[in-house]
Amino acid sequence: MLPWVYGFSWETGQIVFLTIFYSVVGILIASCGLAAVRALRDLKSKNLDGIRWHVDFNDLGDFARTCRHVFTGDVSDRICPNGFDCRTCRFHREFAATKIAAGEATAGMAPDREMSRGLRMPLDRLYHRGHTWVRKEADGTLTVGLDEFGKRVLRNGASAELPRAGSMLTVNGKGWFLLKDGSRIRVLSPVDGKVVETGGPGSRFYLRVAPPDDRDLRHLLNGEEIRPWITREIERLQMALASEEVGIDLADGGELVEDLTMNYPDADWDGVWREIFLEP
Amino acid sequence: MAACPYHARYFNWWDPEWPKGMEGALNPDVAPRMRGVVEKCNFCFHRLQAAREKAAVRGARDIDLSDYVPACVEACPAKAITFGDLLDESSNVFRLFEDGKTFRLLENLGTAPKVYYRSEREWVRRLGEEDFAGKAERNG
Amino acid sequence: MDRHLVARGAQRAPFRRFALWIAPWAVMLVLGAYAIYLCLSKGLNQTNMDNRFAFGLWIFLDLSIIALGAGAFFTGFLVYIMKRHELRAVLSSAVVLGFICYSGAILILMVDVGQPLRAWFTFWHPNVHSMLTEVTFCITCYLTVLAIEYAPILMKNRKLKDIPAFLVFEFELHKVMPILAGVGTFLSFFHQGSLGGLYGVLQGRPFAFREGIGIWPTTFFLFIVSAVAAGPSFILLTTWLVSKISGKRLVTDNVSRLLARISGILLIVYVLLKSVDTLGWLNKTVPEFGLSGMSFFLWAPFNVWILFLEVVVFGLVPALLLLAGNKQLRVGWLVFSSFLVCCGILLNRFVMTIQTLSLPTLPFDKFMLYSPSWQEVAAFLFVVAYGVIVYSLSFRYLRLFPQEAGAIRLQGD
Repeated sequence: MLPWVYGFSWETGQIVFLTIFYSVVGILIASCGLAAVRALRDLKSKNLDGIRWHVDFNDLGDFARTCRHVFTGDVSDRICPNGFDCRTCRFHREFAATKIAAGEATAGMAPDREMSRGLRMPLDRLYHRGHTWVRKEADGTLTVGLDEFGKRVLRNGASAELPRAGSMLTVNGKGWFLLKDGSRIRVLSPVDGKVVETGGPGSRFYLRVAPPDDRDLRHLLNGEEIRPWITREIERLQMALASEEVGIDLADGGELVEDLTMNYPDADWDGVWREIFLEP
Repeated sequence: MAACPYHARYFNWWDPEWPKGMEGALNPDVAPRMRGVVEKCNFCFHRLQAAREKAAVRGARDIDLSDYVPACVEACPAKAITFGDLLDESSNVFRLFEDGKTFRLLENLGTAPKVYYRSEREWVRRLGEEDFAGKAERNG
Repeated sequence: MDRHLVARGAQRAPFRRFALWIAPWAVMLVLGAYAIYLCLSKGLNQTNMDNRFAFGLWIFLDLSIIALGAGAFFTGFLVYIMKRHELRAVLSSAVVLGFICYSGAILILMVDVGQPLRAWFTFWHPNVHSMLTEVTFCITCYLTVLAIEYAPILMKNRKLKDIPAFLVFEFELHKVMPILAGVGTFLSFFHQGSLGGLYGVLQGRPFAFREGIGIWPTTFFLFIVSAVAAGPSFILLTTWLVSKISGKRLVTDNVSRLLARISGILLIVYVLLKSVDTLGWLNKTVPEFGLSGMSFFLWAPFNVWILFLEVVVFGLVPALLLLAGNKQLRVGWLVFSSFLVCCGILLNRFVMTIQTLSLPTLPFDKFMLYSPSWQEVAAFLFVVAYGVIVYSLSFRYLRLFPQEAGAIRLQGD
C-alpha cells in the first residue's frame, strides 16, 4: 500500500494499480471536499433563498417550468433554463426586442380581457409565476399581493406570516408564508427590494416594497401572457387535484368554480399548494 | 481454493484442538493456524529455514541437502517419497525422473504441479490426464 | 402519523399498512442477523461449504447482485455523461438499488471471508496480480461513490431539506455528480470485469478457463457487457414491481421503452459475444487441453439444456423481444422480457460458480452438488430483507421517481 509497508515493491503492476487507486481516492476526496467548502461558503453568503429556489425549480415538473414565450406562441416548446428570471435571459431579450420592433403593445386592451377563465386578473399590474402580482405605485414603491388564482386555490383565505418592515426581499426568494390547515405555504417574492409596509389578507396588498434604483421587472408576466398562463395553471391545478384512481375529471375549457372545497374535500391540498406555489 | 483442481487447499473450518496432555507433542517450529485460514502443503518450510540457519552458523550460503527433507519423506517407512531438486543433475529425483515412468496429475491443463508420481504401468500413467468423457461413462 | 415526513404531493399508504408490509421482512432480517452472528462467532463451519465447494450460495449472491446493481452506474453514465436526461426519471431509484446491492454484497463478503477481522489485510498488503484484490478495491471505492450519490437523495427529504446545511450541501454535491458518475463508471467497468476474469483465469478448471486479450480473459469482457445489459432490465423490472405494489404510476411509458431498448441493444451484443466465446472455447481452448468440449455437459443435471437456456431462452429471446417488439409490444411484455434477462444473468453467475465447482477434475473425482445450510440461506435472505426494507423506506420518505406526481397524470392512461 505504501513503500514502507510489507509486501510493497517498485514493480510496474504495483505502481500502476496503486496510482489508479490513489487517483480515484484523490478525485473522490477532492470532489466531496470541494462540495463541502462551497457549501460552507454558501451558508455564509446568505444566498440561501437563491439556492433553495434553484433546487426547487429543478425539481418542478417540465410542465410547470414552461417558458413564458410558449404562452404567447413565440416558441412551441421550451423549458425555462433560468429559474423564471428573464432579466438575465438572452432568449427573452431577443424576443422582447423583436416584439417592440413589430409594434405590439399591451396598452388599450378592453376591460373584459381582464377576465381570464373566470378569474379577475387586472391588467394594470404584473404577475409572477408564483401567483403574486406587482403594481407600480405613484410614489415609486411597488405593492405586492396574492393573485385571484392563488386566493381561489387557498379556499376561504389563509392567515399570513409576513416579513417585518425593513427586511430585504429578492426575486424568487421567500416573500411570506401562508398558514392554512396546518400547512405553511411559501409564497415567492416577485421583486427585489426593501419592505416598507405590510398589509395582509384583508388589506389591499400584502407588502409595499421600495425597489432598488435599477429596478428591473422584465421577469414578470403581463398583458397578452396572462390568459394563456392562467389556462395552463388551471390545467396544472387539475393535475394536482386529480386523484390517481380517478384521473383528470375537471372538464377542460371550464372556468374555475368559486369554491373548490366543495368539489374536492378529500384532495391532498397540501400537495396542491406545493404544486401551485412552486415548492416541490 | 476454487482454483486448485487437485483439492489440495484446506480451509480450517474449526479451531485446532488436541487431547489434554498432548500439548507436549506439538512441534515448536510450527504454529497451528486458527480457524478461518487456508492451508496447503509447503514442503515443511520450517525445516528449510532451520537448514538455512544451520548453514549460516557454518558461514555457508547454501544449505547442506541432507539437512532438509519434509517430514513426510522422513517418516515414510517404505521410502516411497523422494524429495529433491530436479534441476540438480546429480540428485536422486533427477535420476528417477529420467526413466520416463514419471507423470503428473492433470499435466495437460498446464498447471505445472511440483509433485510427480511414478508407475510401471502405462494405463496408470495415463490416468493423470483429465478425461471427462471417460469419467462420465464410468460414473454412469 | 408520519405524514410530515412524506414528500409533499406524494400519496403514501397509511403508516399502519406500511408497518404491516415491513413486519415480515423485519422478521426475516432478524433471523438472518442471527445466522450471520452464528457464522461470525462460530466460523464458517456453520455453512455447508467444504474444501471442494469453497464457493457457495454467497458467492453466487454476490456476483448476482453486483451484476444487477450495474443499473446504478450505467444509468448515472447515461444521464450525466451521455446526457440522456429522460432517464432522470429512474436515476434516484437506480442509485438506491445500486447502494443496496453493493452494500449487501460487501456485507455478505465480510461474512464469507474466513477471518473478517483481518479483512483490512487485503487493502494494506494488496496482491496486485489478483483479480480478487481488484474487485475488493473497486467495490469498496464504488460503494463510497454510491453512498455519496445516495446522500443528496436523502438530504432532499422534506424535513431534512429545511436544514440549511443539508440544502446547500445537496446543492453543491449535485454539481460534482458528473465527476462521481464518471468515477463510478470507471470503477464498475473494472470490478464487473474482474469478477468475470476471476473465473477466466482458473487454469485448473477448464470449464471456466478462457483465453483473452493481455491479462484479461474473455470472461472479463463478457461480465461487463452482461452486467450493463441486465442493469437497465433490472431497473425496468423493479420499477414495475414497485409500481404494482404501491399502486402508483411511477414513470411514463417512453422511459420504460427507452430502458428496454438500451437493454435489448446491449443484450444482443452480449448474446453475440457469448456465442462466439462459447464456440471458441469449445473448438479451440478445450481441445488444446486434450479434452472434448461437450464432455463438460455430460453431467446431469447440468446437461446442454443449461447452455441453451442461458444463451437462447434467457438471452436471444428477450433480446429480440426488447428490440423488435419495442414499439409494438405492451410494456408488460417488455417487463416480462426484462425478467428473462435478469434470470439469464442469475443463471450465468450460477453456472460460473456452481457448475464450475461441481464438475470433477481429478480422474478419481466424483461429480458433486452442494446444498446450502440454513445459516447460509438465512444470511442470503438477510440481504434480500435488508434491500426491501431500505428501498421501502426510501420510496416512502424520499422522492425516488420525479415523474410520480404531476407530469405522468397529464399523459393519462
